[in-house]
Amino acid sequence: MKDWKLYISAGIFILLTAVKFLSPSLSAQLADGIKNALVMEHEQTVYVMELGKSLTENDAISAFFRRDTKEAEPGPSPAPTQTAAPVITPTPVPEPTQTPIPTPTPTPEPTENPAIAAFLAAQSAYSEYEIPANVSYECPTLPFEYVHPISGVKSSGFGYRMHPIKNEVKYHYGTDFAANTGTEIAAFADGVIVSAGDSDSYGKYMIINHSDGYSTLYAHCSELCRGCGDVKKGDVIAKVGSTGAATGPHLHFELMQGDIYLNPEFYL
Amino acid sequence: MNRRFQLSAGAIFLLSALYFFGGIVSLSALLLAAAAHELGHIAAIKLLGGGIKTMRFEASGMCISMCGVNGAAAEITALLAGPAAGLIFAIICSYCGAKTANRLLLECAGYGAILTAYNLLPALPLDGGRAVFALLSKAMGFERAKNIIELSGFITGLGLAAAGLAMLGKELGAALLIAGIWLLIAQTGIVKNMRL
Repeated sequence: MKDWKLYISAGIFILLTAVKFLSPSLSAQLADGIKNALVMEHEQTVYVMELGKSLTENDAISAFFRRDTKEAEPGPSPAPTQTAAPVITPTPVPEPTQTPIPTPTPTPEPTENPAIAAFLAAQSAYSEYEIPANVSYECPTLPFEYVHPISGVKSSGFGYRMHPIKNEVKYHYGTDFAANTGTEIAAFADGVIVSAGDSDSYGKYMIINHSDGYSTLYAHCSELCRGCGDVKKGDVIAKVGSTGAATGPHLHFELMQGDIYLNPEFYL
Repeated sequence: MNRRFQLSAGAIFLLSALYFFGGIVSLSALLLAAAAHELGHIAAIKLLGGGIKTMRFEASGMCISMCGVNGAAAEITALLAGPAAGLIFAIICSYCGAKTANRLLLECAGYGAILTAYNLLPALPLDGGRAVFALLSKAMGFERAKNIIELSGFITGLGLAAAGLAMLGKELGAALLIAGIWLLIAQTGIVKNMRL
């Protein structure tokens, strides 16, 4: 009865030996994987933290990547597919009168905040497009101190715009700041770097979780200066670049409250 | 050393390795999550009128030997109290960690969830395996239960190792592979000496 253990163990040994002899590249890849695993403290820590965070709330990181593949569908249809996809808890977005309703023309009701008023006026050119469900035009008071992440010029704003690469109207979930490659990028506020990686669209990017469910993303960097872990407001975390889907060196900056995208320009 | 609490050389080696590869925050988070798990066991054993014979901290983790907990239902309750406490701890840490953006709390939540899931696997000497073994022993006798849990442990270990190998191939770390290999090794002769 006990022999089956011996047979299975012998089988595994023969299999591994066969892999080593028949496919040296695969065995070399495995060996490299083990070597990498020993020095990937940051990545593993990020996975653990993401898992921990996902226990009680929707993960901001997955929300970033959901949006990465799903752009807002323009069109007058009142029920775009995107509204159904993200799981949005009712709490993150307070429901005052200011929340834009997808009516043809945003009511030019004067708002107290001139930045919001100017933004709504600029977006009125795209009034036939529905506002994505995971976007809020609110300007909640941030419960922490913050700084401008870069000394650069705004090159593309939050909201609908003509996409510079796809050449069609797409929703822009962040604000772009043009700057020279290598310009330092600072952390918007105190928090924890929960993701630092590379993607086809964002290039080299970093995500910081701040208190009360807020998070910020910094994309298209040429260099990431920090791994995951605690970060202080104003700390240099990365440098400007044009990695990923970018037409030139700039910082793409996003601000989220839970799964809801906010306009960073209201605060900068 | 106190006979009730025993610290093995393997445990010291494990702590050293975790500190070396994970850093002090990760190690602290892992130890806190493990402590919550073990406190769940201890609290349940005490509530069920039992006692702790020994607590051995080994390379495989903490192993509690209990006495005075009679009946399969009581044993299973005591065994599952650990993962339950670990899960509650993880959820609390997740909530507080997300609110305060605290790395230690978020890691506590992550490790708490991982420890809970891992310990519920149907393989000895994990809590899930011990609970299944207690249940099967009651239902079909010690010998048949032993054979079944041995096979279950081996299959679980193999599956875990295979998943770990796939993760390693995708450069997602070696932790799962190491856990699977350890579980496979742990199956050797463990049932023979098993006493719940």
